[in-house]
Amino acid sequence: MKRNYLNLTIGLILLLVFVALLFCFQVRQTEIALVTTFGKPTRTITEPRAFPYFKWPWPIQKVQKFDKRIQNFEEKFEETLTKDSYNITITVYAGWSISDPTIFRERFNDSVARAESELTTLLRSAKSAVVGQHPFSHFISTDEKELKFREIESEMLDRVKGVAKDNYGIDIRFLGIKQLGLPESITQKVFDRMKEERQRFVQKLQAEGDAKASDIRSAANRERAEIITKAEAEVTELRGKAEAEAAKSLAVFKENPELAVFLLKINALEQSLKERSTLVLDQRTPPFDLLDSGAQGATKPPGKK
Amino acid sequence: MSDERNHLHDDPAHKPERGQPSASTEPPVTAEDAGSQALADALRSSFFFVKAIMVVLVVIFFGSGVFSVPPQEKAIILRFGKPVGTTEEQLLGPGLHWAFPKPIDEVVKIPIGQIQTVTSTVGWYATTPEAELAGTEAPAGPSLNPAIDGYTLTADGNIIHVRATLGYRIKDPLAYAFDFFSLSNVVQNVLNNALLYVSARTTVDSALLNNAGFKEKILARVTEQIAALKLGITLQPGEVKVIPPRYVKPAFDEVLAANVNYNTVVNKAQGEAGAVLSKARGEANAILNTGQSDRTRLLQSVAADAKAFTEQLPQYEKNPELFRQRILTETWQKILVASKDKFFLPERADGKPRELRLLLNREPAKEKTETPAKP
Repeated sequence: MKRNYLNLTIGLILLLVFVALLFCFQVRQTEIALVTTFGKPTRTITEPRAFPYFKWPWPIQKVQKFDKRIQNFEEKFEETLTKDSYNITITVYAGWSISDPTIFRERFNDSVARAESELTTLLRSAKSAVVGQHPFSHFISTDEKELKFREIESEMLDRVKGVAKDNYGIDIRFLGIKQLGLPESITQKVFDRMKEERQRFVQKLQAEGDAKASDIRSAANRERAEIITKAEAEVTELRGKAEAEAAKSLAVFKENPELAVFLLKINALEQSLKERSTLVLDQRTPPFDLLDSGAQGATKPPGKK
Repeated sequence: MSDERNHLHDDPAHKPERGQPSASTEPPVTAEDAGSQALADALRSSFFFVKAIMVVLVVIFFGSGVFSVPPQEKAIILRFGKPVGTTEEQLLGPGLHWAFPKPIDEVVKIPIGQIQTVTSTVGWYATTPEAELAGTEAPAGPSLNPAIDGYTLTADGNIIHVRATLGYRIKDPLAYAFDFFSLSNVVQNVLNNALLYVSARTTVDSALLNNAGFKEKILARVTEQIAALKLGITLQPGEVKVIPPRYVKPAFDEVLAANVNYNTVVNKAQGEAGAVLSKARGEANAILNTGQSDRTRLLQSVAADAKAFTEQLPQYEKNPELFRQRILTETWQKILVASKDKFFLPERADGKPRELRLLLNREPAKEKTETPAKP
């Protein structure tokens, strides 16, 4: 009999498992479940729980599961016009998730691809509408106040959020611009302008370099002049002091000015005729006055060659 | 063995008429029973196998709950689809673990220790990494096709190429594993968005010259977006490369060359200025030295004159005329010895001055100065 009990429990467990498979279902953390009763949606389950959910077996109730994770969505770039008629290319990306499986199922029959093609259309119209309300300077500008990048993104999001929620059962979580460009013909013009600007820079640098170099040179020359002038002034001062000192020691000459003058003259004469000079003399020059009968002599001025 | 027999009677519940008699009484041994005996034996042994297989299956079923987590990863157990425990306990570290098998539990592994990288896709011209490494890229055309070439627009309306590579780590494993279909794509788009966002407010020169500042702004924008979108990751340092469009690169290189040239010109001028100044200082020193030595000479000669005067004064006072003549004559003697040519021209008898003609060939004649020899 003990054996029978064992067999019985095994049988019961198997039966329970079978029943559980029929009557229970679980919802994964990443899923959202829709319970349909005879094909009509009756219950939406968004959160998992620690024990399984109950349902009537098929054909009464059926469970359909949707991915509730945030899906990435990127569209193709296209040209659109700004408010001030600039032609720009712009691409946006978005993150979306299924918020209402009833509407989603009805609309797309749980095909993500179909949902995305609808989103593309929706985003495209929102994008051109919003871009058309902003001048080009709201996209790029050196002035922080002029830039409206965030505003543009949130305006686009506002436009699509409500529609997506009510009509598609989709919650658009975020939206951003991922590419911003110009038509190909315009890029060529931008390149030309960039080149011209660089040329201007080159010329400016050359002019500035030359100006700075000549500034440095003239400053140096001025300083040089100052240094020399200062040195000369010092020397003049020095001379003055020397003369003053000399004058002190020359005070002794006062004792006999005649002799002093005579000595100075003799000295000067000796100094001036020291070098190889040619002298033309007559008989009045001493000591040649001895050759003359006359006692008095006068020198002819000697000529130096 | 009777265990198997019981099993045989219990298990096929839909065949009671065959199982019940054999359960209550011993089977009669007859000749034709030899066949059924053999059949029963065969059944018994095959049931034994079935049971063994079942036991093995049960063991396998529970054993399949054992799993290992490699290093650099953590695991989360989902029980009936719901993560187990609190955030701290949820994460199972590297090693062996056990969970209920498939329909009850599910193990999700998360590469939490690894640094994942993401590279921007919108700012670079059309190329392949291989071509870039080999240097075999196609030459740049005079325009950019927005369908294939990426670039960003700067605040002053110029075009630049930007490429950013960032690393990130998972901070919130739940967000990474369960909230996003593909987190890396979201991070990539956030990075692309940051490139546009930062370029749009930076001038071309600041983007090209101040790479660190540009990168910092990009990281700041990405960080801000990560918080806003609750991506549950932390950024690691990355790199940002900014270059001018290849077609206009020569023009940019010219500016660089002009910069170098500017420095060269200025440095040269500075060098010259230095030379001028040091020369000037030399000159000034020479002037000062000359002045000093002039002073010394002057003082010495004056002192010598003074000394000579005081020595000669007594003799002069004794007989001034004789002293004068003596000195004068001595001096003349010195002069005449030292002089090169001497001509003696006595005065004409009639007292008229003589006419002298000089042939000058070396130097212009000095002005003749009257030097009275004697008063």
